[in-house]
Amino acid sequence: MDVRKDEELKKILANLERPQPSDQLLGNIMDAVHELPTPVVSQPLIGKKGWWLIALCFAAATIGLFFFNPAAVGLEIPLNTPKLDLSMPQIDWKMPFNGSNTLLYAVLFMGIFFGLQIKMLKKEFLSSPEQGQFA
Amino acid sequence: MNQLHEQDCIEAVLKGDSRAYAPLVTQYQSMVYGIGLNVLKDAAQAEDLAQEVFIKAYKSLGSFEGKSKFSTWLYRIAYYAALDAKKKRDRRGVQAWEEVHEKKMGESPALEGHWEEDPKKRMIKTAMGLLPADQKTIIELFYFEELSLKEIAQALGMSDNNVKVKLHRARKRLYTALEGQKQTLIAE
Repeated sequence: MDVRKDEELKKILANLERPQPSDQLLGNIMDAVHELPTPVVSQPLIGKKGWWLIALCFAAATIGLFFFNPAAVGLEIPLNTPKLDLSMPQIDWKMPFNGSNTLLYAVLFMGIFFGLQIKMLKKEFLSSPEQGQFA
Repeated sequence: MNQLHEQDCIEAVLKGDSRAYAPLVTQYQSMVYGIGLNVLKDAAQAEDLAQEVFIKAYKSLGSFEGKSKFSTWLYRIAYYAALDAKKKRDRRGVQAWEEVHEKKMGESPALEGHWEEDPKKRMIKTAMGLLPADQKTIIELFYFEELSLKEIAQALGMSDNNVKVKLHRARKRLYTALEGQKQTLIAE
C-alpha cells in the first residue's frame, strides 16, 4: 500500500473513538490493588557480574588450552599415575533388586538435581509469578 | 504520560505506594479494554479481563526489567490473557452475545447500540469490525498507540515480519472496505 493511501487511512482512523471501559474500572482496580502486598523486585539467580565471571573463566580456559602447554608451566595433571584413583567408590546399597552401580548413581544424582531444581524454581516463581512468561 | 514518569510511578509502587499505580491504569485502561474487546467481543467480559490484567501486572511489577516499554509489557500480558480467556470460554461452549449477533447480522459487534451516532464513524467501525481480531489489534496498536512494528511484535509475541504482513493485509482490507466512501470522508 502506498504512502498516500496510508495517510488517508491515518486521517480516517483519527475520526474513530476508541471503546472506553466503564468509569468504575479504575476504582475497582485500585480497590483490589490496595489489598495486595507490595510487589517484590525479583533478582535473577545469576547476576550480571556472575555471568561475566563465568564467561571470563570459560574464555580464559579455552584460550589457555590453545596457547599454553600445561606441561611447560608445571600444571600437567598426571592422570595416568597409579596413585590417582578416579573410579567411583563401591557401595553395597543392599537393594531388593539387582542394579548396576551406574544405575544407582544415576538415580541418586537425578534425585539430588531434582530436589535442587524444585527449590530453585520455587524461589523463582513464588517471588515473581509472571517472571517466566512475561519478563 | 512519558516513559520517565511511568518509571517514577513503577518505582513508587515498588517502594510501597500503591496509589502511584493509578496513573498507569488511567493511561492504558482503554487500550487493555480494547484488546479484550477485540478478542472476546463482549464488553462485560472485556472489562473483567482488563481488571484481571491490571491486577496481574501489579503483582508482577517486580519482574518488569525495563528492557521494553511498560506499555509493550502490559499489552503482552493483556493479549495473552485475552486469548486464554477466549480459549476457556470456547471450551465451555459459551459464545459472546455479540458473536452470536454478529453471525446473524453479518456486522461488527462494536456497532450495536451506536446507530444513532455519526454515519462516518459508524462506517469506520463497520470496516474495523470486519477485520480478524489479531489484525484489528495490530491496527489499533500501530495507529492509536503509535507502537513501532518491533514493539507490536514484542507485545503480541510474533515475528517482526509476521506483524508487517498482517499490518499490510489489515490496511489493505480496511482501505478496500472504506474505499467506496473515501471521497465523502476526505471531503468532510
